[in-house]
Amino acid sequence: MNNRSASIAVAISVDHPLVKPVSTSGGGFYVTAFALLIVMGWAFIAWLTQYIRGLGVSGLDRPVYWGVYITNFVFFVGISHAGTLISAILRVTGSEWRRPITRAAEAITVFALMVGPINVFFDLGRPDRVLNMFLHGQLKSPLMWDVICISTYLVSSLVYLYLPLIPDIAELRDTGIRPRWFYRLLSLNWRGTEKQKHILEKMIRVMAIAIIPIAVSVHTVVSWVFAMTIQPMWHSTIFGPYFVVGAIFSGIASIIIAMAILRKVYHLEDYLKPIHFNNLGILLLVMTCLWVYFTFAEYLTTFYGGEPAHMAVFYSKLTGEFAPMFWSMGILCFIIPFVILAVGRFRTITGTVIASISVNIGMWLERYTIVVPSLSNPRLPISEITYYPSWVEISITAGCFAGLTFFYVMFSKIFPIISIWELKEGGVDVAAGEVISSAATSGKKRMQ
Amino acid sequence: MKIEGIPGHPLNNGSLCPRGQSALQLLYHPHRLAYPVLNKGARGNGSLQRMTHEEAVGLLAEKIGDLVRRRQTHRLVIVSGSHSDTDELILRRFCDSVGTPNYIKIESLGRRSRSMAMGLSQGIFKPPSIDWSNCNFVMLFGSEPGTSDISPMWLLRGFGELRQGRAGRRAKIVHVSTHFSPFSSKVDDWIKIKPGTYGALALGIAHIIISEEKYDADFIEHFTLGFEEFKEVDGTLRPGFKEHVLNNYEPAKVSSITGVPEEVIIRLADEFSSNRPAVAYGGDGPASYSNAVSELVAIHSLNALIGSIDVPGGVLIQRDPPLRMPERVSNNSLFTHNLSQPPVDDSIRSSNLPVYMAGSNLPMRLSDSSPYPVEVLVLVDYDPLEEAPGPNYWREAFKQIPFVVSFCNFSDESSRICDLVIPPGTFLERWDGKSVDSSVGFPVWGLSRPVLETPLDGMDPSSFFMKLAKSMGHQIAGAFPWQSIEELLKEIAMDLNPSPGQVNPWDEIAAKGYWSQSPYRFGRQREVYQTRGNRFNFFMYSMEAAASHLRSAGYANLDKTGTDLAQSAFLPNHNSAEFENWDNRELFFLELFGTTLSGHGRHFSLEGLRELQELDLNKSWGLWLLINPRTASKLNLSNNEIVWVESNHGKLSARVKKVEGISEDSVGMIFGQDKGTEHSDTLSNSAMSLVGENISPLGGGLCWGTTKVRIYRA
Amino acid sequence: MTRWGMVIDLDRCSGCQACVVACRQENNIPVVGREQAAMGRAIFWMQIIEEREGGHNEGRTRYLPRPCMHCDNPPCVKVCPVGATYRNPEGLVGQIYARCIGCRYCTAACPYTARYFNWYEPSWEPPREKSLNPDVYVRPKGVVEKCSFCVHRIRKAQRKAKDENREIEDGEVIPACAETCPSKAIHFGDLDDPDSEVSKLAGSRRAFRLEEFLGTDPKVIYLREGEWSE
Repeated sequence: MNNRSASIAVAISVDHPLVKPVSTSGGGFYVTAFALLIVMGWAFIAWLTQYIRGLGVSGLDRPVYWGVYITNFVFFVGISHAGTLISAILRVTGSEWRRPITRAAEAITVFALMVGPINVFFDLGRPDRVLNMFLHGQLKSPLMWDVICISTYLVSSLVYLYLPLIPDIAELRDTGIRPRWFYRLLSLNWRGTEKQKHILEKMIRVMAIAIIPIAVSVHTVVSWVFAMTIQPMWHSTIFGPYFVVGAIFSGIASIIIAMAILRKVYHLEDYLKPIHFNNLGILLLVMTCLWVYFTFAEYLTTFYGGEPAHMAVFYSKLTGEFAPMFWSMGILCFIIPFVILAVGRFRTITGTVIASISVNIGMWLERYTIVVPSLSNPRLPISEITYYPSWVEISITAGCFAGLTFFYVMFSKIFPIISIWELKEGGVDVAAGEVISSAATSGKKRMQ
Repeated sequence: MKIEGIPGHPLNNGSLCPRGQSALQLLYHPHRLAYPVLNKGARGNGSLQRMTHEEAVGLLAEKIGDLVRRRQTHRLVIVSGSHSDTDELILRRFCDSVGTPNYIKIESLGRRSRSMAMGLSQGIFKPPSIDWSNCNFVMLFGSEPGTSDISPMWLLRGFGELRQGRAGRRAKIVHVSTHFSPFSSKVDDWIKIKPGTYGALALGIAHIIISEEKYDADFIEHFTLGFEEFKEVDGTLRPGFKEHVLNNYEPAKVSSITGVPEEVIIRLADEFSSNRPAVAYGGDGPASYSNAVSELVAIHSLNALIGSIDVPGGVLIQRDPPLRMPERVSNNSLFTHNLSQPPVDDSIRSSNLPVYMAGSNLPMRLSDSSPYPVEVLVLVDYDPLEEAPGPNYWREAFKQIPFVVSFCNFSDESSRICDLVIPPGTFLERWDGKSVDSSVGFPVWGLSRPVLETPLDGMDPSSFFMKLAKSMGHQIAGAFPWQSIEELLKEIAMDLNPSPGQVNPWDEIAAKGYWSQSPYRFGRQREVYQTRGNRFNFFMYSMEAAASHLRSAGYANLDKTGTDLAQSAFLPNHNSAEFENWDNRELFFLELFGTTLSGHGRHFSLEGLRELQELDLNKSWGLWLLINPRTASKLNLSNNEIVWVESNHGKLSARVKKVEGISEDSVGMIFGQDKGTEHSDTLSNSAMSLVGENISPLGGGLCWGTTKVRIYRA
Repeated sequence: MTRWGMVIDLDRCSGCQACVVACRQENNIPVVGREQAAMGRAIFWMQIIEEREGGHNEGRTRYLPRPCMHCDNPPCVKVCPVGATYRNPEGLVGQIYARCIGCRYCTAACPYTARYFNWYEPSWEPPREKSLNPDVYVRPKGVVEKCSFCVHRIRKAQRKAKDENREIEDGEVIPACAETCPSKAIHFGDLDDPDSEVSKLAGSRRAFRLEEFLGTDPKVIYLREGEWSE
């Protein structure tokens, strides 16, 4: 391996497929970015309406005090588990095939973590008083736990995204891509010396280990927002792991989708190969099974206990008002992905992408059918109110998806979405634009 | 600002019912009219001219003055729905002095029948009072405390007292009704009964009590007349209640009429007769059917059977305060001749006959100009297009009358097509004196006065008509010698003796807000029974007299056939109720009922009340049709769906709400729901528009329960 | 120390809703209108709630007036991220309107659904504002509100007692709902005073509390309907 490290010093050309998205932008990019900005602009108008007139413009009501915003919050924070867990766990365990996908995954984490929590802000009746969270913060509130864990996670994810970026930024600086001052500034004077490399790799290793418990804590405390109350079908001890599993589940699905798009749009077929999709597909299959296990455990326990208040929620999901959503969730989160992923010959790029889209829609529904049915069936009194999201909530939700995509696209236009130096480390002759070693996919070699 | 009850007041003791609580919303309602408005040009779409109250007085004086000049004063009709005793006094006096027999008082639904039942059996034309605090067993026949127009406060208070007001004694409350309401869930025993059969159940219970000899023989001997068969001095044989009931109301038969199982009838009779003092009380339910009076008489006869009249825990007679009412001016009228014209509502009013016979449909006669055309119609606190049955007849009547005036605080359905609208202000802006309605028994006189200064101070109907009378000169002005309503009230209250230690009754009343004289005085047979022999009349002489009077006056008889009635018709009876089976398709009984929020629907346009959940529905706002879930699935209707409710008098659209408590052959609607909402000219939102002007032949009360409706998807 | 509590005698309660109207009048609760009410956005600090026992067809329906329970272990207070709702030493669960950020965590956590939210800026079409009670704050949009046990009346009575240099008497504090109740079903007082009316009633065999098993320790105690026996 050491004989390969010499090649790092060789600068790659601006036309290289890994650098080209950064160096040049075509019409497709502008159209996409413009379309996404329009959706975001519309969402901003919706939010402005809500800010001026009040939360009444949403479809929320009593007793369904929480709806789509909180669903989005849980969903996007769930997606954010993509990156970190994938890249951190794979990095820690030295899975070589991770090399081309870690950055794409980490970027999802960072942007999903920006989009997710802002939904809580959208949900506030008094956004103007959001600073009270800091002026009068109460540590006994699970919502404050979220604030602490998520901000920690966001900061560490940013660091964790940034650290492996430094050598690539230096690479871009060296190729002379504009704005030069930007890359020069961010490259932190990276020269690729052994000392620098040693420090960087050590920091990455520390971060990779540290970020795992942080990530686990984040979705645990998100689940505790619900589980710490005594509301029917929220007050459950398995919510922590259940939510974490769901988060990783939807996170992996998001990476697969992002990868497939990047591969297609940026012509990265040489780097993002069927084997990556296959391996991620197997991971997704494992998570599907874990998810269905938790879901089964959760619902069986509720059903077997048969407490009336819980059963009201239970039946509203299984046979009542929420049955269409609930069973769609079951099909989308388990039946479809399981069938596709369990059969080796369906585990193609197309197959895994279909499974992933299915999982992500399903997981959004899962979050919805956790948040809304419990509130729709309070212990007291009997409620006949049905919650429908208003145009404002739908617009803002669309804006969130557009925002996540927009930031992600922008990121891929500013930084290489595949870690160039890590590929080189993994034995890929990046400069030659071809793979000269099977090491990148063998998964047998350990870093250094 | 807040309204609270008067602590220590014999009726409310500091409490208020939901409708009383809402009065402030009336006072500060943004849509309240602030000044009189004259409609110039076509009614409904002419230009509106704002005027002062003084100008309105002048305008009305001119219109009535014209009638005076032409000696046609009887062509003035005043229809009043005002609850104020003072308005009653002033308006009647005004009509008397001008010379028109057409002061028509709109009483609250059911009241007339309930008064009549007491009148026929005890000679007291008032609904009964009950000594709740000493009662052990109460059978409520179609009566719910909170929904009544007659002292809901007192009934609600009684409800609490009966159960937890006395250590170690908890009365049983039985509720007999056609549908299971939230109140039914509050009582100890709910009995479901078929529509229009309350009296049969009462007489079935009487049958058991008599056959098991559980009646109060001592009371029957000393205080009743007609229990046993007897012979008049002239030899006429009068049938006895005992034989009549034993022969005609055996439990099996009653059970098949009422749908109440025999064993329940037997149980009720046992419990009623062995848990004295016990009381049977008839309410809106029986009063809504065509057989209202006889049903209420039958129910009240149970009280006589077990001696529950004028005893602690029994039926009391509400005593009136000794007011010094001004003498009537009928002999000093401007046109005494006009005063004795037949009234437009074709009613027979006789001071020596305890019968009020409303002949035929008032709006129909107004629109037919019979027996003479009406030229000036004054509506006081009454919106016939919303509140009266058959609103389309009223629309027609309006067209025939050249000048229509409405005293109302809000632009309502009727006032929108009037010539002159005069806002009279609320009860918080006026002087008024009121004797309590049937409730505590002992006399109470309440005084209300303006509580705050508003532009509508002194613009109430009483003050207005006093000003009007004074401006008209002649004897009319002479009939109103007082400077103000306050002065009149002072005179009326002159004889109310002050409490010990006080000198001036007026100052004391003005400070306290009421005058009362407790406790109730028992054992005054002449006050309690103002009938033949001063006894409870099982055999109702006055009913017989009324029947023969009607016949000789050329009216149909009480049973509308014109034939002689059997002697037993003057005993408590169950006559089957008539329903309007107007269509061959499937029809449902329309149960039109009040709730604690709606009452009889008169002030139900207040948003603050309509926003509350109707417990019957678990819904607020809107116009709802309550329907049994099985009926709904048979008709393939689901909740919230809009359906047409059609009777032979009109139709309206309402939203479906499935309610288990409604029986399968009925649908329910609540009085006054959606009142005050804008709607088209021909289609009313008022459930009352589905009801025909069916007047109980005896008593003249409106029977709003005779309607049957068809339900179909809109 | 005083521990304010309420006893509601269901045997006396007729379900007339006078308490609901009185509460809305007393506490300046705005009318939200037909559409908003249909969405379940009407505010009722005191509300008559329907409780069905057993199956839906067995007809055992119960109507209970439901104010805020002022739990001694309030689930709402725990979850508030900014301390806008708190339990004071007298046991009252209060709400600081000026601090509330409107996250509605407390409304979601309250097992009695006794908390309400101001979806829009409340408004009173003139001259309705004249009927407002000057003793009670009007809430802005976006904050949570609920029954306060008429704390302004408690404070008034306490001030009066202090001015007259005496202890506050049992029955001196009467919330608007209790005051108006025609059948006198609502009692209010100090649960820590063994001689108070509420303490005595709370010791009744008929006493129960809503969702007692949740351990919220409500200070609203219900007396169940009595049984009639010959």
